[in-house]
Amino acid sequence: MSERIKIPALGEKLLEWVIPDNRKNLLIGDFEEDFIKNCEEKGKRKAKLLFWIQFFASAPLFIRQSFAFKLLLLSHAISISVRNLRRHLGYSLLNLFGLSVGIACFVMIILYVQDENSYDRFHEKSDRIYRVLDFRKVDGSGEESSSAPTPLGERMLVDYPGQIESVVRFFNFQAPTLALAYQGESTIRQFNESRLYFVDQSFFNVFDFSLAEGDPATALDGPNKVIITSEMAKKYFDYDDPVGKILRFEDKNDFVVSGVFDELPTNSHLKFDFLVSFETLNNPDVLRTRLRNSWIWNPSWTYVLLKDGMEPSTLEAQFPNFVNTHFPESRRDRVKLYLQPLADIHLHSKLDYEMGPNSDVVYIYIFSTIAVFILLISCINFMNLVTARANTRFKEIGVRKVLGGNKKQIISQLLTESFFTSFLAILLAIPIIWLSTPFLNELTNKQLSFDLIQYPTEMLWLLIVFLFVGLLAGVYPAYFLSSSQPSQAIKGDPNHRGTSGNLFRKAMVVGQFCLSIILITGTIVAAKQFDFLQNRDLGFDNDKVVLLPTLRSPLMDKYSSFKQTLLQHSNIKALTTAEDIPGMKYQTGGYTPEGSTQELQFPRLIVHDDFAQTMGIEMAAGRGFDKSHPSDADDAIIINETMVKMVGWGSAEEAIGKSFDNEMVIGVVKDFHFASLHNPIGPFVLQRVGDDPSSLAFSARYIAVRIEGGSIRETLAFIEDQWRSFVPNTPYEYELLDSLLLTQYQTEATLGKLTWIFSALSILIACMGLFGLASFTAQRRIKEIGIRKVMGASTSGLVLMLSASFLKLVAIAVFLAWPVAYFSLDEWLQDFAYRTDLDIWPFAVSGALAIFIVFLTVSYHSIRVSLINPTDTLRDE
Amino acid sequence: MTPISRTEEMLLLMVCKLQEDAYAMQIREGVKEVTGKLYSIGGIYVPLDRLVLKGYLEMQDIESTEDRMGRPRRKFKITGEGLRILKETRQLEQAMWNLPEDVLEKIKLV
Repeated sequence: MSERIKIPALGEKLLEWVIPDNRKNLLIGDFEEDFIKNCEEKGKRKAKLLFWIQFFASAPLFIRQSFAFKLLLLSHAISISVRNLRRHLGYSLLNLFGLSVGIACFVMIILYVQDENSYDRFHEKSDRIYRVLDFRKVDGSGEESSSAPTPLGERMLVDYPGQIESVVRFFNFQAPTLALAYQGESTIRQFNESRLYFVDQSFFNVFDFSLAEGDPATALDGPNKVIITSEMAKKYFDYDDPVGKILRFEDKNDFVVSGVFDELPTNSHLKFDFLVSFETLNNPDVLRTRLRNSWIWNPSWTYVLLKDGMEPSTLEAQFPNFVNTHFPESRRDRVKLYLQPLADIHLHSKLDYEMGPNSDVVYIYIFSTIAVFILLISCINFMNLVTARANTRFKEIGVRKVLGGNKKQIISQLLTESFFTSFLAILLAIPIIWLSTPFLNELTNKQLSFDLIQYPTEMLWLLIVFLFVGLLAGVYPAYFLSSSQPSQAIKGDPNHRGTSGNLFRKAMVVGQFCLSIILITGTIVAAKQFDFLQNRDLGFDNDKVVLLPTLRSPLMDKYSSFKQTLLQHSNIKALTTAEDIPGMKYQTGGYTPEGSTQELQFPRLIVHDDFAQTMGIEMAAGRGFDKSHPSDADDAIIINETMVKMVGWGSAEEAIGKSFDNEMVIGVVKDFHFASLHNPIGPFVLQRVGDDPSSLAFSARYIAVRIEGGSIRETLAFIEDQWRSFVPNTPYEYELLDSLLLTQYQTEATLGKLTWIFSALSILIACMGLFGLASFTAQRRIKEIGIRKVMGASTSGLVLMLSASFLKLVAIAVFLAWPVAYFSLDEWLQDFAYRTDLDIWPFAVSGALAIFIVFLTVSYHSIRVSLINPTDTLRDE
Repeated sequence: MTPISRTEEMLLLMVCKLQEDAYAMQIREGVKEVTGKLYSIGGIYVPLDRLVLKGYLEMQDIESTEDRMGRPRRKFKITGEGLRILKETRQLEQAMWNLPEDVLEKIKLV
């Protein structure tokens, strides 16, 4: 018999892999015996064949047996885990709760991030839908418009039939609100609607929105049809059979309700209440033909659906040619068209004239970071508590080793424990998530839900969290405990009890608090920045101004008598019109300053007399528009100080009388923030609106009223009464300018609240861990403290001594966290044109706060241990 | 008495027959010789384990022998209980086979 006869190596590997541990050698031996015998009797080749036949005949059985054996081991390991949890029930629960809260935070942030990322992706063709952008800039100044000229959409469809499948335009005159009314049998319901759009018939071919009533093929086919959402069906008709009913638009045109939407998905940047068929706009009564066909005015949000397999870059490459063919001569040098992917709009688009406020991908990054931080902090808690409890576990592990347990078994026992805890934590986290999602929804204005049945992907997230937490929390303790020597382990030799473990734990505590302090510093700075934005002097007086939306309102026909009437009230100091919300939005126009040959694109507002007075803007030189100069509408212009500097006219006084696009500069206003504080103050132009009704109706989106003194409510009631007597069939509405301006910082405000909550939770979780850790340390030094007391140490000295070891760690964490926080916050603040100073206070406060909280946490145990009578602890020695 | 199956009966008898040679692989060979049925290497342990569990067999792992690369082999031995069940089984069968001669001839069993 030759020594060299051996079963195939691969076969041996496979056998080792499938046969249960308890009879591995025995069975491989049997295979070998059989193989050798076959070799001798039938030759090696046949024996090999027989071996594989045998292997495949036996393998299913082996696998089944292995599985049963593993299950047995697992149930054993879990029962030990349960015993270990129960031995220190209080701390185990604390630990588990911390971990659950961490997991719950993590999952909720994931829900939020997932929702943000899902915007506009529910359309089946979403990856082929692009929005056409219309940038008009000269020398870096001008507009980056998210909307395009109205005829552009139909033109593109004609010019690029091979590349574009469909075009949908959204049009609303870029009006803040539009008036609608329903005349019922006994009631009239009239409202100003802010989410009404005229859209092309191809809407349903491009986007996936479904109708509860009506036929998508015909609902937008032909003029004067409107599809409404179910909320609007309730608002106007009480759900009472809306299809076929009539809605009166601007007291002039009748629209027939042709459909009702199903509940609209919230994760869409297209938010609308009414969609009117685009053909309606061909009626000159609704939109004057000149405006309908204008290539200069760009109010239509235009979405193109590319044909399958078409690259947007191929189409974009042809746009310069398109601009030269269709745009008027004067605009060709500055118009650049781009395609923006639909799914990028919500997180990446910060353009002019967006349909609504978008989110920002920066917040996604910030929240994802916070989510990982919190999960890490809670995992570290678990890790630290397990290693800190090592002294109680060492004996168990030593005995296991002595009885022949190998390292692998011990590691698997400890990993089973951490996975078991992770599993329990997830079970506990699920109700926490359920209970707190309404709260999160309230804060973020979303409709997030954690529904495991409806969204199986969330199950996947839980699985990932389970594996991540189980592994991260278990690997180190498993390695640390399993590598101890049995003799030392059983003796519990304190010198070998894990100095490395101690160091590791300390490093982890430092890491945890480092993360917490970064979050707290971030929260304080975010709050400070928000406060700064809210309280910064805007260069005008926004808190006494009321805006009345008036675009396309019949009131504008009677503007001057309306103005006269209002000014009779003693609390109304001044009144003007504005093309957009001052301090928030603006339009742009092309102007050629004296001394320049090129027409430049500048932000501007077209306003009426007394604008500076109404808004409380100071003049640097010259005068404002007023009624004594009626010709201002044609030949006068007002600019701001930045414009003076930019053109290079030396001083404001020098600028007066200079020509600007054939109009004369009659005044220079001191710089004021005509847009949000995200942007620096740039050059700015004020022009006076013409007094003819059509200019007023088109360029006056708002009437701005300055109210000073007296009761605001009484004055507002007066304005409403006057409005009703002037235009009884137009709904009345007003906005307070200061609260309107605050909405610009809505994202910052929400972010501030969320970071506040999550950083508070992070430090809470970190402290839960520290609380447990402190108790174990105090317990371990209980005899040392007894001896110190006997030798005359004071209680306060002992408390200080015990707390000091933790405070040292937190102090290190503070110093590590500061630079990280500084650089990342500095980065974040760079996004703001006007930012609060990054001074020492947020850092000092967060550091002091962390040290204070840690002191409170650990001093509980320190005081408790220091107060124990030494005779109790030293008695048995 | 719980009756044992044909297979169990055969395996117990095989263990008795092989005596000092009653290792799993040898039992498998023996079964093949008698019945022509070849158990898979893993499969032979299933009924043997069951017999051990029922207390009719006892087993012993014998440390390395040269022809198995130092791996142990499992040796089976019949217990008193096993012998008792074998005897009972035999009596039962004899009782059942105890048919009158004329019946045997009539159905041509002989």
